[in-house]
Amino acid sequence: MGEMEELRKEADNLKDQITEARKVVQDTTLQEAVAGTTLVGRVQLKTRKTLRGHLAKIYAMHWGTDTNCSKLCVSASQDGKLIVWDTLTTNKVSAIPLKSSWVMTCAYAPSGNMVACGGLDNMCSIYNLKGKDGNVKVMRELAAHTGYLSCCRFLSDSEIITSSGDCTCVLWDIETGTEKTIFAGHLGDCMSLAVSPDFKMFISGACDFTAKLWDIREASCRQTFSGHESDINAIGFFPNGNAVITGSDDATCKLYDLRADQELITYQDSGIMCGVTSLAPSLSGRLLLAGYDDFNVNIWDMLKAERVGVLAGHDNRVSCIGVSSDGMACCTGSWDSFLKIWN
Amino acid sequence: MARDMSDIDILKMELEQLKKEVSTPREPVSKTSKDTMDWCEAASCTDLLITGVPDDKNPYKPEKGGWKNIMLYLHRNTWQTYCSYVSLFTGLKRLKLERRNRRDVH
Repeated sequence: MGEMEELRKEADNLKDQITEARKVVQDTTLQEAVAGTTLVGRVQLKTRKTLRGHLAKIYAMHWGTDTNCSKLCVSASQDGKLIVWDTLTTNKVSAIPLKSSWVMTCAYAPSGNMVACGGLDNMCSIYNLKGKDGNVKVMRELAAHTGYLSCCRFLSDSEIITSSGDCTCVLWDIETGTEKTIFAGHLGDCMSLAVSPDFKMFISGACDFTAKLWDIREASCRQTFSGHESDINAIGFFPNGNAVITGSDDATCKLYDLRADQELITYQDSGIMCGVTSLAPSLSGRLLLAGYDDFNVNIWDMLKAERVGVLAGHDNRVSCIGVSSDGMACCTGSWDSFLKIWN
Repeated sequence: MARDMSDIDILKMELEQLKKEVSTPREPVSKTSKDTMDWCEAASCTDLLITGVPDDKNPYKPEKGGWKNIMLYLHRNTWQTYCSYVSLFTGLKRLKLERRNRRDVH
């Protein structure tokens, strides 16, 4: 059709313009800028605690952020349980049975009052941890997605953002259980999302090999980052909120700068041929911990793009990783049904 | 959503987005990468995963001589001691019986 051809030409033209504009501001590369910096010394973390209790693959974990729960974390497993752990004592604070065992994500509210999870049931279930009678009950079931729930993150006790296999992300009002904003634009399943430190924006990574930066209040996509050659499985904000890190099935992680609107550096090694499943930056952003399909976690120096450590200890794929809010420890969850705390 | 849209609608959506993105303000990489580097280096000194946590301040490292460890040690040792006494006692009793049998035979 003539119209399609014209539209495609226009789109290609605009893409070329964007590429040109990005080249204009590329007066140097990150490698050149950090040439004078010394590589971080070898990082050797040890397993301090092993959290045993799940009976099947662990798909997701999330640390608590509030000062009262900075040592607590929640994990979701396909044995149909959501477990809130006290990582210091390895005790289970709560073990929440789920209606659907096909869970793919979980999240801890910043206040520590709620946890959320979702998966192949296409719904995001919110649980109140601080119920009056001490029991943990379902508070809301947010149902409107037409695809699986791949990731969810709380903005506050009243708002949560979810990403789905139906190619959209949604901002929900938890009180009413309704959708406030739908963020559509991805052409493939949205696999992960991360909220900026100032809670004004969020980024999503999808199976269309791109990452998109969304403005929450304006409900629009601000920037799109491409470059990956396969599905983006994991995404995170650099701690100062000015850059984005993505991890993909193409075995690489990339750092994109938001202000320069382009890729700064790629974290890859010829010896790594398996996909990245999860990632987490350390508190300073100097280290990038990335979990891979080959059962290991590689620690990268984010500025020099070199590997400075490996966390080997799991007997199956590392599916999730997180650094605690005080930066004191990192937690890895695996398909071998164990979570390990390292520092 | 993208699944239910026709090819032409998807193209139109992409085009609209590209038009917005063409006019995104962009800062030079030299400035932004320097800012990132400076921020990172300043924060690295307090990054516990880089500097490491001293053993006495590490809440995840079990203390030597902590109550849990002492109880575990005692428990393990008491059980082992009990087991060795039981086997010693049983062994002695068997010896006694054998000696008595030999005496009776003779």
